[in-house]
Amino acid sequence: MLRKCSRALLIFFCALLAVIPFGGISASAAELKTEFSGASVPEEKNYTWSSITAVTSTKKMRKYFIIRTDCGGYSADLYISFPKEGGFRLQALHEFQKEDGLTSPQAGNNGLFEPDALEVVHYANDSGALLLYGGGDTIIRYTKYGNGFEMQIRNGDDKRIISITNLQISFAYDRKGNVVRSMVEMPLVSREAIYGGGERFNDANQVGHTISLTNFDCWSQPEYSYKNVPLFHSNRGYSIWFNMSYSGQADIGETDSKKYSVTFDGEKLDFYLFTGTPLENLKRYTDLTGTSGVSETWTYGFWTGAQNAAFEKGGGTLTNVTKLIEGYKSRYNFYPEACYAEGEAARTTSVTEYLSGKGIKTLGWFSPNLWKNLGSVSDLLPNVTEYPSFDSSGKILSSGQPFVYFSKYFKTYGKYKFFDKDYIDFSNPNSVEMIKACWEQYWNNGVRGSMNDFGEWFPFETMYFNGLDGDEMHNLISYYYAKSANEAWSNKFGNDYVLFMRSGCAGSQYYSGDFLGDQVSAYYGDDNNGYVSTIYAMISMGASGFNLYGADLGGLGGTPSDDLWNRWVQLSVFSPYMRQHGSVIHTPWSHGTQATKSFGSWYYFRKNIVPMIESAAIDAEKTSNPIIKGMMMAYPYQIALADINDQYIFCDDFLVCPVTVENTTYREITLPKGSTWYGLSDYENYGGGNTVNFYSPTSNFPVFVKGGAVKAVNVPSGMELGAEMHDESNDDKQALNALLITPPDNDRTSVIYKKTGQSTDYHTYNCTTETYENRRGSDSDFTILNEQGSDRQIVLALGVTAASITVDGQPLSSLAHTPSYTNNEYGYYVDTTGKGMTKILLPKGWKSLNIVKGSVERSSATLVSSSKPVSLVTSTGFKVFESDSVIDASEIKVMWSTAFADNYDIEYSLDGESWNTIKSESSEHTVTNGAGSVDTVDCGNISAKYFKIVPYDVGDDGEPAVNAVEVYSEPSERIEVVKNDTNIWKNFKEDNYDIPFEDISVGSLNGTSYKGMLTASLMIAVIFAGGTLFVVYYRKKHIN
Amino acid sequence: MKNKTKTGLISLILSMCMAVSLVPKVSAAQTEIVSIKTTLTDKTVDRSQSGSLSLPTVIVGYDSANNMRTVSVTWENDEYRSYKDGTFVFTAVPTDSQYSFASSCVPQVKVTNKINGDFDSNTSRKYYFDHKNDLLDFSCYYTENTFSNTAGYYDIKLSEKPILDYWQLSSGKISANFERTTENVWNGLNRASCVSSVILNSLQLYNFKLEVDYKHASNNWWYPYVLFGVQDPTRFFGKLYVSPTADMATGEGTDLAFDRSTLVGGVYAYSEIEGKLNVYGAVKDDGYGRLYFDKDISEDKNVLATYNRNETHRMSITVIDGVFGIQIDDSDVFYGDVDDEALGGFLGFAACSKGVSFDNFKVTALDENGNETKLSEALQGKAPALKEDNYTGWDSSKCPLEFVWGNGFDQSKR
Repeated sequence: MLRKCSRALLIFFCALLAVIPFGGISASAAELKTEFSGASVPEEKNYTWSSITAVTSTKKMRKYFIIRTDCGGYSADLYISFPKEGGFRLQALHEFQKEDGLTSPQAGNNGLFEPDALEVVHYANDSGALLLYGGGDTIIRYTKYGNGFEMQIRNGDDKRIISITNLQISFAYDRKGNVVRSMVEMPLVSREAIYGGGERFNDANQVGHTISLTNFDCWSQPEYSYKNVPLFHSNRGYSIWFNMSYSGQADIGETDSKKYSVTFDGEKLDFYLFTGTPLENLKRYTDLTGTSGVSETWTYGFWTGAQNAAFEKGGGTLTNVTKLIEGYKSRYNFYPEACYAEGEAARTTSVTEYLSGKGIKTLGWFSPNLWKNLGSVSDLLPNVTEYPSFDSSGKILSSGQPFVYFSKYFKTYGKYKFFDKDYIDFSNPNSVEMIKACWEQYWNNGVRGSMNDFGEWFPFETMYFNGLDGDEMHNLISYYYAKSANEAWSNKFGNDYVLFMRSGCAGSQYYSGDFLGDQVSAYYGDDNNGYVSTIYAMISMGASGFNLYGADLGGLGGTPSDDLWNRWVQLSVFSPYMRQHGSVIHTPWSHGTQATKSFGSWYYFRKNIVPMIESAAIDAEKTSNPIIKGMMMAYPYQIALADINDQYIFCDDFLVCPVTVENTTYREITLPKGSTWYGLSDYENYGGGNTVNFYSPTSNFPVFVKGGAVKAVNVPSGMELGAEMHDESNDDKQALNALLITPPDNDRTSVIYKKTGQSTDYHTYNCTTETYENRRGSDSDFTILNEQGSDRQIVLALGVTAASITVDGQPLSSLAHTPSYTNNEYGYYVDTTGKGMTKILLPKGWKSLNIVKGSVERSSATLVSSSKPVSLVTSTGFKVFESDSVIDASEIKVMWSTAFADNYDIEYSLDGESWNTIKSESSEHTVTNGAGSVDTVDCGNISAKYFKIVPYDVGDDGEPAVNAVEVYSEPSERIEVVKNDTNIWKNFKEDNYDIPFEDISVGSLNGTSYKGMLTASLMIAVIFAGGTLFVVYYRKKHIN
Repeated sequence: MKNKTKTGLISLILSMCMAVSLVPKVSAAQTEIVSIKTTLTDKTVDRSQSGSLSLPTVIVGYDSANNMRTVSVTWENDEYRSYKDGTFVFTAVPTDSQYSFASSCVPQVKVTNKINGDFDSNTSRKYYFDHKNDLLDFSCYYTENTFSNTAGYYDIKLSEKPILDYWQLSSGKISANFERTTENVWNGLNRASCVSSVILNSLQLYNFKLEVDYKHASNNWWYPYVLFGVQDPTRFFGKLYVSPTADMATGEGTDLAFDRSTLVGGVYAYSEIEGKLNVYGAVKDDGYGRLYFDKDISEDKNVLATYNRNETHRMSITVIDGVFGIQIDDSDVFYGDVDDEALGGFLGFAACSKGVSFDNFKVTALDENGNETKLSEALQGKAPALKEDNYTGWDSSKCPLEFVWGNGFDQSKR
């Protein structure tokens, strides 16, 4: 039993010299906590570090290149192989492992993620060096380096990416010679960025941070995570994945800006290094660990919900749930797709019956020890023996009850004894039966999903059914948790359910969706664990193989400010899952005028883009292309973007720029090079490569659509985004398949997936595939091609004021109104407000859609434009805005700051003394019942030099102020063909960066040339077309 | 062999000289015994035959007026220890200072202590506790603390005490001889109170086997602790936790707690009276400061099903390279890991109440492979002090590859 140690004395004296407490690889690295609720990492102490000191020999084998080394007096063999999936793999086999009988390295992560095959290693000489390569494009140039080695890693273009020397690999030995810690160190250079690492709350780019790699119930504190995946992407052209689930930490350039050190508390060193772009390497990672799945379409809708304690307050759970659900119905005329009814709520029949009656899926809560509330072990698993049993041949007869064992009993006797009958050991197959037993009766009541919580609470010093100790299983249990839950629910429902976990690890994405953990209801919070941390988390998760996730809209801890609530709604719309949750029942109507008025539009906009999200989810499942990509993941060659932690690409084409400052009206946005970007709120075009200070009042979430996009959306027959729409209404609100397109800067291809029928399971489903070419023609036109013939009859051309359109070679009629879908009125309508949106109705089966771009002349004047709010009220009265000269106006755009007036008059004057008021046909004031952000007022045709705004009632946030007031003339009626498109990206190639950021003129490509529009004639409505996307109120006004 | 004999003779001569010097001068108030009636014979103690040193407790003699006197005596020889092989001349010393022996008739007994293979004195030492000289190698400690009733965590200190104030030798055993002052209720305060430890001063082995006979007190369940890895004998193996609602009169609402600072108290192993082995203190544990072996895992019965609290049991503790194995009588061996803070350190035993006894305290030095080794050559000392992790790893300035971003990258700034 006791390990014989031939060097015990030597080691002991070494220990006297270098006795080390647990807590960090280096005295200067940030101190990380090793204890959170439910998990305390055992201390590793009195170990001695040594890097690999010398190479003793090498051995060329068919599938391995073995480097035999000395490491501080111990031998360690490094096995290099080339997996079929790409890159190379390095595994260590230590001296004492060999003495224990091992003849080859132990695979990390319990051997769950092994390559399909290993390539034959090719050896070649290269000027005294040894070249190693397999079938992929990663090449190792191996040379002697002092007494050790250098492995220079090159990509397929023979570019030198990185080198690893013997000194960059270290092991910590305990007194007995066991390896208790492993460390790999990689160089960093200036401007290098590192993304990934699982779910990170500190930033998207991890350079400059020290992070824990141990799953903790950490309340989203920046250095910690619920989901650790030691996969790190470098923008220099490689990714490294540690196939290890031990506790650990990574000091990524915090202590030493020229390196990052990744340390694990375990002996099985096993990593893969891939050369290529982050996305290429993410694909390789998921080839090994599995891609995320595809949940049913309803899961991409809106989930409401709250903690059980919140539901239980006041009138009780059913009353509160009903109040919440009916609140949505009465205000916005929809029922949420799902309701997360935590705890007892989902197990209350009256609640589930009510929700089912409304067509709402009930989502419940699960914890690894929840079973104790539902019965005894023997009740739940009546046919399961307490401990595993085997027949005489060793074949397992029963897996026993699914709980972890007290490891010393097993190690001493080879027998089992439960550590505690508490948390379910999900590596035990009977865990599936336990999950089923817990849910069976509630499934029958309508429960269709589960938050699978508390996967970070698993003990370390125990043994699990799969034979691993807690030091490896603490993180890895999330894989088994997800797998068992998936199996239990799939057996019952196929795929008509949704699971979302808090904890995660490599491979867990294959079986389950996720939620982002617990955040406080603040932008940052005292521990930087609020809303902003979820942005980083989503980006990091996207870089780590996760795709189906969403934060608690509103935050779990507390009540968000009205402003934050609005921002969080917006962020959730552009999240893979849109789910509201909190320790209180968050409702839009408890967050002020703007939130109350806008939520319906946000909900319906989410419904508009559900097809796009589902398509992206399928794409991620098939190709590992993330739904959310951080800047470096999407644009690794644009180094300047890598440090932007709060922008991301959503579904390939949406650049989402969440506002991260409370009560602000502007945010700086850097638009990636290579394409033109089209504002989803103002429909204007913005040149890639620019940094813009974007008007982002509370109602306006900065999102831009990439040039050349072809996205699947649903719209009602009115073709309006954000307007009321239902999946099955069979009227003018029926959701119809449509496309949202933008003009291409250069030729692009888009694939749209659409799931058909019910899936068999998370990875088995039927879907159609539509391929669209978006080809740039001349400077004036572009063409959408679909060889199969598209059934999407509605096309919304964003950023396009079409001069003419042909479909399959036939000219399409220009209409003065939105084409009537029900009457098959094929044609197109250019939004006459002058904004870049053309709405097109096409016959079924169209294959070619050619659009000639146009522009409309229109003059404009800016009365005030300031990034600082300008108060309307002065000490002497109301502020007067004066134009340089008398102007003819047909439309006035008031761009409010955070504080706004919801009832006000606009007055105008030629001389500043005699004033007229712009009247409303239907209400007392020029604008009644406004909601801030932007009000666009049709003022008929007036001439004036002076304007003032007279507020009567103020909105949510105090004394009203504006950031800008713009006045527009009547647009010309003729749409001119754009002839000289100055698109600088039309010949763009990804590796051609002749134009640096600072040389791009901000004004050269902005949307001013697209301005000058037709007369606004829309009635007062909440619309998304023709102005600010989000809750813009157009009002037609006439002068009496 | 020759050298050994010579050493024995020298010892004998030295002992006799010292015995002479021990004869007290007669004071005016003293009664001098001038002749001895008790017949004294030399003794041979054969340890291999479970022999035990037993000398008369009284001497009968006559004073100068020829009055017969019965004098209680102790027997003195500074060199004697029960583990020492050899011949020792013991001199009787009256316990009552009113008596003295005339120099012509000082009672003496020559004792030949024969280990005779009972243990190998090169590798082991065994205390039979049949003479108080053995206690000279031990120090005694006792928990004497005054705890606040304010909620919190409090260190539990042990103070050094005269050993015979708390322990006694009788019938060839050492027995606790103090009464508990707190109730027989299991809580933190009571467990932290009325504990006396006996610590062997001279050996701090890293790899060893410790064997000791113990017996529970007959009238309570308090624990007979066997100690190892004790770095600081003045520290108990735990802290006292006082909850906000604690009643310090009864100890209700108190418990023991453990943290890094308590590890210096070492490891306390014991069996409950039902035969359940507990190991508390500086062991790698379940997070609550203990390993608790309560069930036979295959047969679901007590670990020591035939354990009889009224009998003497033998606990054997082996520690090799930080892994301990504990056996009671011929039970299975229970393994665990000693915390690094409890490597080396002192050995000993402790009790919580009167009546607990220990005997045959045997320590054997082992090497790192578990083989017996000479005591003189065995690795000894306390656990090394823990230091900061100063490993800084790879010197990044010596990266052999200077990475160049190259034309493929847009290096412009925002």
